[in-house]
Amino acid sequence: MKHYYIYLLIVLLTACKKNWLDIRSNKSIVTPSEIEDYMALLNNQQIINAGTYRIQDLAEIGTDNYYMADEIFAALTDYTKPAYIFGKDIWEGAENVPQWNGPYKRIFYANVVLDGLKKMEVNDNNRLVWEMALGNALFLRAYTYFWLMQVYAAPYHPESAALLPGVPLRLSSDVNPISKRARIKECYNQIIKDIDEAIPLLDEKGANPIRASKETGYALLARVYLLLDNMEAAAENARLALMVSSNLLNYNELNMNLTYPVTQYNSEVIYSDLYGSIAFAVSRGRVDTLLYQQYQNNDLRRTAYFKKQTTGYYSFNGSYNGTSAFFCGIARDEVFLIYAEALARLGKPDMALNALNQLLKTRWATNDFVPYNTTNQPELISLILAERRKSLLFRGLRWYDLRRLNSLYAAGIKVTRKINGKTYVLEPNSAKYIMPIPDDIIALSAIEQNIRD
Amino acid sequence: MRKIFIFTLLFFHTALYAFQKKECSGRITDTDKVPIQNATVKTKHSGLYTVTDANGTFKIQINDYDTLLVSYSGYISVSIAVTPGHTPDIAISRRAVVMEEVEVSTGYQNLVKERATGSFVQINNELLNRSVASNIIDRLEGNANGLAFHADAYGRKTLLVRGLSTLYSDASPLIVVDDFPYEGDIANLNPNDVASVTLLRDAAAASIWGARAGNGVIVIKTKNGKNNNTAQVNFVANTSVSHPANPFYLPVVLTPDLISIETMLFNNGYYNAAINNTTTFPILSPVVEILLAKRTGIITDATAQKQLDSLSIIDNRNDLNRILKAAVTQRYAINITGGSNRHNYYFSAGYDDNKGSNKSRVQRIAINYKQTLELNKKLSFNSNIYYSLNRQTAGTLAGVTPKYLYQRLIDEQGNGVVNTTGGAYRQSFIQQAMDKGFLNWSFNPVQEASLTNNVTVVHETRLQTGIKYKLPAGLDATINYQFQLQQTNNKDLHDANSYYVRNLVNSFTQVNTATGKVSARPIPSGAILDRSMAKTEAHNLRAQLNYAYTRSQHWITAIAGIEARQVHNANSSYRLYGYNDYLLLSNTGLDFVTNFQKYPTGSGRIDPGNSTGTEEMDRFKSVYLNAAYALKNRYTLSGSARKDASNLFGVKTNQRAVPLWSTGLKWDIHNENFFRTNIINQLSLRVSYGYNGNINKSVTAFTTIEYLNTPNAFNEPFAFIINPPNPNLRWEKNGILNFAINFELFNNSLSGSVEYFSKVGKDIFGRAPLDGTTGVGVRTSLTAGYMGNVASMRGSGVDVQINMVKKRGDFTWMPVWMFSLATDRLTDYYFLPNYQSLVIDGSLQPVNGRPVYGVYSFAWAGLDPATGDPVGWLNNEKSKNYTRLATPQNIAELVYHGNARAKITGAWRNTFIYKNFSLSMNISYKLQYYIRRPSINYNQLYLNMNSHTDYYKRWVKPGDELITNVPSMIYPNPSSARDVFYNYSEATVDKGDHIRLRETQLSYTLKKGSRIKIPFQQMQLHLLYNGGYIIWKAGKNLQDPDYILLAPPSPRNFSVGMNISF
Repeated sequence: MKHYYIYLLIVLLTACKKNWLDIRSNKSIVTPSEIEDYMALLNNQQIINAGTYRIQDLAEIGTDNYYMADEIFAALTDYTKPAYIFGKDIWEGAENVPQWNGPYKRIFYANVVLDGLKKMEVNDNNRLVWEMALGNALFLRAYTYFWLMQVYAAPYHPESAALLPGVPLRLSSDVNPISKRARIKECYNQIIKDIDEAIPLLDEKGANPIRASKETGYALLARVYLLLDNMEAAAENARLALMVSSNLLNYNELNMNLTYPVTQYNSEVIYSDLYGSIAFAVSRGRVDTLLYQQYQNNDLRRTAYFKKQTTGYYSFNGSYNGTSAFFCGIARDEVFLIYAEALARLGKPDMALNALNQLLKTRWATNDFVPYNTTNQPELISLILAERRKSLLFRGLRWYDLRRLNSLYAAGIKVTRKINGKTYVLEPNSAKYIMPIPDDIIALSAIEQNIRD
Repeated sequence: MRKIFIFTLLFFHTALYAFQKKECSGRITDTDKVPIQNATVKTKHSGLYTVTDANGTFKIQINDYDTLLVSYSGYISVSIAVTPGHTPDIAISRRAVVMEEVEVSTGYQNLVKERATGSFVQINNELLNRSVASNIIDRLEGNANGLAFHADAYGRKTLLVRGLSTLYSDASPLIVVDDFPYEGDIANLNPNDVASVTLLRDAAAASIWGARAGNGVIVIKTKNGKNNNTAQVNFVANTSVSHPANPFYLPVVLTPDLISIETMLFNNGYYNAAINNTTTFPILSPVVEILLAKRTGIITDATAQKQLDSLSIIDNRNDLNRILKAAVTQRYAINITGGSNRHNYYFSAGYDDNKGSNKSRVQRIAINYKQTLELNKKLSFNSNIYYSLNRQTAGTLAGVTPKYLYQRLIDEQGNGVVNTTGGAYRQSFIQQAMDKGFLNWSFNPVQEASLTNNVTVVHETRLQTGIKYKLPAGLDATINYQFQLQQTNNKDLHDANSYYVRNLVNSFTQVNTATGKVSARPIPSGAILDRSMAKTEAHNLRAQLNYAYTRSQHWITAIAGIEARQVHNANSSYRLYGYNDYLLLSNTGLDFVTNFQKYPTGSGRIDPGNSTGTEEMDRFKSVYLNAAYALKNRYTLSGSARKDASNLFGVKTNQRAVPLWSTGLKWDIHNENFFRTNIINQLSLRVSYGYNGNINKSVTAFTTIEYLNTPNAFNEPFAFIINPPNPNLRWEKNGILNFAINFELFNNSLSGSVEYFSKVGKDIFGRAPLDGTTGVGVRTSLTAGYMGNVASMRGSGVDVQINMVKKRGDFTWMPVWMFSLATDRLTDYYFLPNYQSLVIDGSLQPVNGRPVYGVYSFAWAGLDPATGDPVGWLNNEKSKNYTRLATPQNIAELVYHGNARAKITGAWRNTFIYKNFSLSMNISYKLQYYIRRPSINYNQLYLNMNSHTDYYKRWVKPGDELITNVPSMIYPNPSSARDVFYNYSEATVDKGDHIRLRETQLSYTLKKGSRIKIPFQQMQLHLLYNGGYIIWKAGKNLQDPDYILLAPPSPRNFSVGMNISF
């Protein structure tokens, strides 16, 4: 009896509330806790929408859209130089490479948002904002992994996808786990999973071009399925995206006197993203002569995209970003072209032609466009691919096409460089279609390097 | 045949034996006739020995006349003469001087030192009282083996127990006062209340403190009352007088030379930009003003020369010498202690008053009441109320010395002189401004000092209460609670006439452009009050079960407990303009919004001076267990385990808590049966291993973000991630292995301990080059350096203490030697340092494989024989590319000298006692480290007239390079890098090793009943030299290695005092 008060005190002491240790130690530290805090991270254009994180530069640097003069090539100092001539090593010991760290920083932001949102309590008052934020983060992660896959992993082929390495999949904001490369198939599965999860959460259209929406989700899915040679899914998602909006920019309304006639955030832009490049910046890269010659006189793309420089050669000025920075987001012209290609490959030439002509009508001077009408499948496909090449320049998509077409359809397209009389060839399906991973990443994580022999 | 042979052999053997040796048998008992087993019996002549059996009997061969030596541990050895056949009964008595059982406290329990497996160092009350320092920690310097006090260039001390075990976390030991971690300023504690201090050095000793024990623990026990004691009164008073620090300590270039340097610069047009600057009207030195007046023809050459001559005899350090007074500190303390059979108490009060040499003053009042009350045989209560008031008045003369040596501080009458270079503007500008209606903009240091009023008051309240209840079966339970509140209030009142206020008022004063006169004063010309408040509130609650068991050869003691701690820190500050201290009024109508045009240039808003401050809440929950088992007084095994959890760590719950443990073993060889010697009274071996932890509060496990002020392109707010989430964030762990030998020889006249330790720090906080795949960039500005549990460290060392007691008649000599070696080294660290910072600014730049704090230099190749330019090494070639030399690209370009902190520290204390006199002196040493000493920097000389006497040793003509390393003075100076290179080259590094005489105390003790009649129980008078005298130093270019950039306290520093017990 008389010991009771001792026991009572011990019980009191041990019975501290379970969450007694959950209190924040320092009040002045802003720990994100509201949905608005997470949205603020997704609104950060310097992270999620900035030219400094130029992974797409690597996805365009090896294409046949441009070439460099000998003396300009000689003056290059960074990774651009070896990358241009398909060198084995392009980083040469460089650290903190933005083409790797940049995209992964976006993924980190997305993961922080995802981890934070998943811990929040959702109720009827905040559900809409919560879903929007969650959907945006999922989309951002999928979109960023898509680009990493185009640069650091082998082109997709159904026979090798389960065997060859993709990129490290970091799906949590915890920085402690050691990075490991997932297989190509796992990576694309994750990308599709994220978009599939995001679409139901998102609005039909984004409030602004850095916001994800159902439309951006469908468009990205269409792009991914096209690469995976799943034409039904590519066509279906392209259709769903176009159902949201099929608005196209009428090139007749462009002010061709502007240095960059296509303006930023124009009505055709579904999702805005940009990158900077040294190799094919206006002062260095010259548009491939054969490519330029493919445009006919009344094709307004010829005037909107290319400007004759004082050197006498043409530069690319048709960025959908309206500046010298190159556009690499998602625009509706691409969705039309995916739709057309998928339908053509599925054997629906009429629908394919319809989509293609709908787009091209807006690219040509009014009344000058004669709609295509071939129904021969191979002819139609090569026609669509030719128009695709003429429309989607310097968006990183030529690289995507080169890899895709060579890998899946044995297109046999070669890219050739001539520097100081020496010729360098990027053979179809070459190991040089996979960029080496920066040396500091290899040193710190010991992940497999891409061997470019 | 064979049998015969054996028989014969036996016969001969016996016969031979009987012929040479005889036998003696006997019995050994104690004084109560109780037989003693295992006592050693030795023969003096034949050298044989045996031990007694269970009945205390023995049998031994002896010569015809022999002496037996009988010894047994803890008993006085005897020798007795014997003859064959003699059967002595020998009674031996316990050693009269029974060793007092020294108890050491861990803060959770008191351990008999004999049974402690860990590394404890106890500093008893007598030793603490050798010094009169007002701060208890200061009294430990030179007295605690293994506790080093490292000084920086300004003499500020860093305490380390057995070297460094962390990089970015707090490295100072945990201070525990009366069983609970002390959260306030230890200066609040009255040292006269302290009974003893125990230093916990290894894991077995400290790991009971778990996550906070990584840097060692200092356990302070305050005095208690004793039951059944009549009231005793003890009174302590002393006064210290210390000369002001020597203003001439820092070596500078003398006035005539400064004037000639300025003249040279003036003639080269160095000051023209400043002279012609009519935007900010920068200050010109008096010499430049004179030279300018001469150049513009305002004064004649002769007048100018006369004025310069009159300046050239001034050295304002003499003025400072006249102003500074000796610092006087008075300390009084009284305590009353006593108790009845069920109640005891301890009451004390102390007053310290320290009047500094520069009008600074620190006063402390401390009141303490402790009592223990036994309600019945089982239940007792204890309580403690401690209050202290610490009032600090800031030193008003700090930093008032004018920049130029030839500027007077006070005139012949002692009045303050206007310092024309102390303000912000030239004298001519000030005059013009006053004509427009501005307040006087001139600066008078002495006057400014008298107008300063900066007082900090610290209140500390500590309330402790506990109950203890005896349970059956050797168990008892205790519950203790402590509340500690420290409130710090600072009041900094800037007088209306102070330069501070005048300058602020003037800079915001508005001028009517038409009239050119003052039109408005947005800041009123009244006093400005800055107030800041800080509060620390700590709650501790602990419930503990104690168990003790003793039976024949077994001894067990164990504790188990649970505790919770909460520490809440908060601070804030505010400012009042136009403050009236008498009426407590202030002007609240100031305009803090308008961006005012400032005078003479610039614009800005008035600083409201308010800060919402910060608020922190730390919570800890712990469970712990500690047990020891001893067998036969010979083998002691101990173990402890503790688990700490806090809100600072780990989102992952399993990382929120950390289990730490330790184990120790002690072997008392002297109690072994086989151990027979008179020389060694005690010999013990100890070994322990375990883990202690450490906390870093600057890193959080949670994501933190920062919003940017501007919205993004779509008008939405956006944010950056500042701190990545780190759910794996965990406590630093420090594994310590300790080997020790304790010994006492020659009836305790020589005793000591030798300990070896080895430490491995794991999960140490550090910066890491993180794989960019994580998304956390390494060197991007917004996430500069990922901080996490990435580093590992190793350390090892030796602690030796030897005590001796030598008596001859009335004279006793008691020397004590202390020696500590501690090393530290980073073992896993991959973040590259900033090599320039590594050499220059002394900031923490960890280098893998090296000690945490090292001295590095630019490689030195001497002076250029033709020009006197400094020359360095670059890629094994001599170079004068100073910019490149001063920005090293890798560690191989640097010269590594060694530790920046002494590897070896120690002391040699000698006490001589003759009758009632006692003389004790302490000599301490620091060895094996390097110091960067300042030298002449021409860039700084030209800019600020910052000088150094190395100027006089500079290269002047070819050939000088053989006798000096000081570069030539050149103008124009092509690059400041030339000075940076020289000042941080090998040429300016010295060894820091030195030996210092510390306190020396002469005391005279009188006890009641001695020849001189006193009305007290005991009275002690003492005279103390407070020390600081350098006996020897390795670096010949250094004055005091502990004070490189600041004058040390004067070694002329004495105290007198008394200590009376009634």
